[in-house]
Amino acid sequence: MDFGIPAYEYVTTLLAALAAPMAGVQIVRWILPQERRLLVVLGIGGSLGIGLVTFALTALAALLPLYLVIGAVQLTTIALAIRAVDGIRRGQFRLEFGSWAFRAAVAFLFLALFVAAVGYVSSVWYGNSHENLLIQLALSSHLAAGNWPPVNPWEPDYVQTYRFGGQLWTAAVSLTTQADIFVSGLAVTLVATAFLLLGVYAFISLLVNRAAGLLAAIFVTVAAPQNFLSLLLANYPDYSPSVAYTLAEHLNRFKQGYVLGTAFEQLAAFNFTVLVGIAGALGAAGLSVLLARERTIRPVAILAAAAAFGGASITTEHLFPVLAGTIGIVALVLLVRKRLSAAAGLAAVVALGTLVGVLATGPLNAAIFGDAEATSSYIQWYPGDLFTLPTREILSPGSTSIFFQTESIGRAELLGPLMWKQFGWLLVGIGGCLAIAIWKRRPEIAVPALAAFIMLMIPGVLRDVLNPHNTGRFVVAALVMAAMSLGIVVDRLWRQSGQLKAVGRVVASGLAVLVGGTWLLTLPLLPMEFQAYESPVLADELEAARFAAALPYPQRALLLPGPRTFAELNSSLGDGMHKYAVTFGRLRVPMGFDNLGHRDDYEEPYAEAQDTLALERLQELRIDLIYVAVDQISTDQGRLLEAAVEGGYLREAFTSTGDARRIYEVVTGVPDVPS
Amino acid sequence: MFGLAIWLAIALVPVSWPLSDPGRSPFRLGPISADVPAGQTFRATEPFDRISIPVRIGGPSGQTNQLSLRIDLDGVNGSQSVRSGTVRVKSASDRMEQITFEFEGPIAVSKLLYFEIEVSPSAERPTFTMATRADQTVDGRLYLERAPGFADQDLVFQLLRRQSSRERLTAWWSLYPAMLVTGAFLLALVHITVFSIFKAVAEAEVRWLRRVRPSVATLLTVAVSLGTIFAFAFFR
Repeated sequence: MDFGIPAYEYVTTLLAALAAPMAGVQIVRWILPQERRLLVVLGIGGSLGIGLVTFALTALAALLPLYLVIGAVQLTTIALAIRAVDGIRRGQFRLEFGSWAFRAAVAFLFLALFVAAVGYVSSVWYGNSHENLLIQLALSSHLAAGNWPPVNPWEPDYVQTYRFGGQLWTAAVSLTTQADIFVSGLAVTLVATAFLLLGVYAFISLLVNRAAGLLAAIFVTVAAPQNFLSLLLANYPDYSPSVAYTLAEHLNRFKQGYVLGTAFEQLAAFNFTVLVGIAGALGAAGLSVLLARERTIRPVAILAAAAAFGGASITTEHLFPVLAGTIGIVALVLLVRKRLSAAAGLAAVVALGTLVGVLATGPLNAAIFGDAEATSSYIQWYPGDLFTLPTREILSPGSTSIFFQTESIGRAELLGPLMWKQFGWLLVGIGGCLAIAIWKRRPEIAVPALAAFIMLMIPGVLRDVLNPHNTGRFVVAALVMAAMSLGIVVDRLWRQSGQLKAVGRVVASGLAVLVGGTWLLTLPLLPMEFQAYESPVLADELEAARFAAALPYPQRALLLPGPRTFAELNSSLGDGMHKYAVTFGRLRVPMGFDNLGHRDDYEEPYAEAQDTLALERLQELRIDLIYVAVDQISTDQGRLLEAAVEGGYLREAFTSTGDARRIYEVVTGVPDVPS
Repeated sequence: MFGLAIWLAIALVPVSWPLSDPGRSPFRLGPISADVPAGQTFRATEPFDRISIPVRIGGPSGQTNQLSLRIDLDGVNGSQSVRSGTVRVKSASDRMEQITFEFEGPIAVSKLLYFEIEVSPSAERPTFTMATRADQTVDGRLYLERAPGFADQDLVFQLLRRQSSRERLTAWWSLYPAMLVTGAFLLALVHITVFSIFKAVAEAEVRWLRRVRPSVATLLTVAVSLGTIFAFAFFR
């Protein structure tokens, strides 16, 4: 399939995306001139750079024209990146590993990136998931067209109070290279994944040691529910005639499990911007580790960490409480131990990070300064769910996990049987890490476990009454933190000597199998993600979308047949035509988004406009175009179109080569509407 | 080269795998839901106004799910549909119960009809029905998520069903080129990674590993791992 994307765009976008992390590397070189460990500098610097760029883009765009901000930020990062590459080229750093260990790490990183790329590509063209195309890339595409402040493509009369740090970075890469938004998203996904994993390695290396860092990065990559264990016990005839069939058909559910969360491997396919947020958070966390060891206050390091903290919070607001909570608690511990400079430094990171995260345009800003009625109505303090986590039942009532859970339950007890079956490794990782910290009297070892614990507690005390599965997103970050904790535990177990040596190694190997078993089992099924294109008329779809994108921005469109509800939006309804039209066609569709938006304003007029194609309805919604899937409309809808064309208020503007897609222009100034 | 030979042999040597015949023994299909709909095409020989199908609702006894049946009068995903009245089905014993869905008026004989069980999106309990692996008749095809059912959807079955190696490779290259390329690339990456890990561990002075050739260890590890997974998938 030819997507009409020149091959060189894959290279140029990758280089443009790499500028951000490499700029961070240069900043870390300035902050830590004595640091010579290459992977530590790349990890802390790279993730810091991603946090800084997402922060700078969002904060500056509130003050200056968007294109000017993107140009200035990209030029600055490219200049810094060139200096960083020059420093590395001149051999100022050393590798922390032997040559084959380094090669093994690089090979594993490429494997992780390949899995991420397959996930992302399959989410865009193969309907593996819908969020990337429907939400993340759609907003990125509209931002690249100059949509600032970011108007919601599905609610074109309202600014979107959604997280958009990652989308803005994607748009910046696209604008800088003049490349397709799909390729830009791919580059951002790969760069964010690579530097996130390097960031994990560097963070844990600084806290514990390099072996634990390496294990942590591997465990983060492969972390998933222990569903592979259930294969031996599952009652397959209840679901399908073969294990192979079940796995292939329900791969995402298998990886995701029944407790609501998302395996790290799935983030690239579900929501690639979360990877951007976590990478930025690791930059802030890594610099905070260094600040905690300082005897003097380092203003530049504090500012950089705070800005990355803000960037991560804007990109993925779920990271805000864990960053603030964890760094804040460490500052308190340092204060008690009378390490005043270090405590003050970390307190300053939290204070400044909170300030910039809240002041910059984004979800936190909207929550505090936005529509008070709306914000207070959906997030509620509800400690009644303490020590429990949401399950898939919230997302899909009536559904069950194929594996451990045969009957629906709404919430899983944090230490209950379901959690031990699905996430035993997570509980052992957190508990084990805390135990090692106490045993070794090294409180810093407990930091990832503390962060994971904070994240797991939040869904038990906060309730999102309009969109309940949102609280499950805290579990996503908790899985990353818990995998890091497990890396520390496995490293410690493996180092046992004497009589405990054999036991330690057996337990360590068992834990490694538990955390990565599902990933290993499902890896051979990865090619299944490319089973079939979501749209059987993809060439026509892209042709129509590109025609629409070439029109002056913005264009408001009605989709026919097209979705009407959020559930239909977030689906392959109509072969996904709505997603391609809005993302690649840069169309604004006034149909209303989810419960958090303004559905009530659009629902009725849009449904009436779809049902009647009456001119007054189209004018009420200020529709410019009708985007028609000719291969999917009903006979009645075809007749309505013919009548509208005959009535003179619709004019055919485009027909795709295969005649599967047509675009009609709404002709204004027509006085009479045919009955 | 040895590794390549192993994989070529797997791809080319004609073997009769256990999945060569999808079989017609019934199995319990589910949970079906608003997200995972199940249906079937059929041809009516005379007008009818009710359809009876086996259903089981999971969960504690006494719980109910609301179900209805939709018939597309012009085939799968047709534009003209009729719906039965809603039926509240209670969870009871572990066995299937014949549930009858009634329509307002008789449905005339048509070319090809399609019915789909509609589970209410707010259903709180899992819903199961019965199906067979192979289609019972030419017209009576099982549909899952509005795509042809088991025999067509199970790519593992498609890959390993009885056919010549030339047919197998041609079919895969023409139908699923992206899958084939991804699989080959993945296999290469896995081999490189495992090989590097063996070399790294040997470098770290693990004595017994120094006596093993990393290339042989890699091939064996990957082949045994994959073989175990596939064997389990087929023979369990």
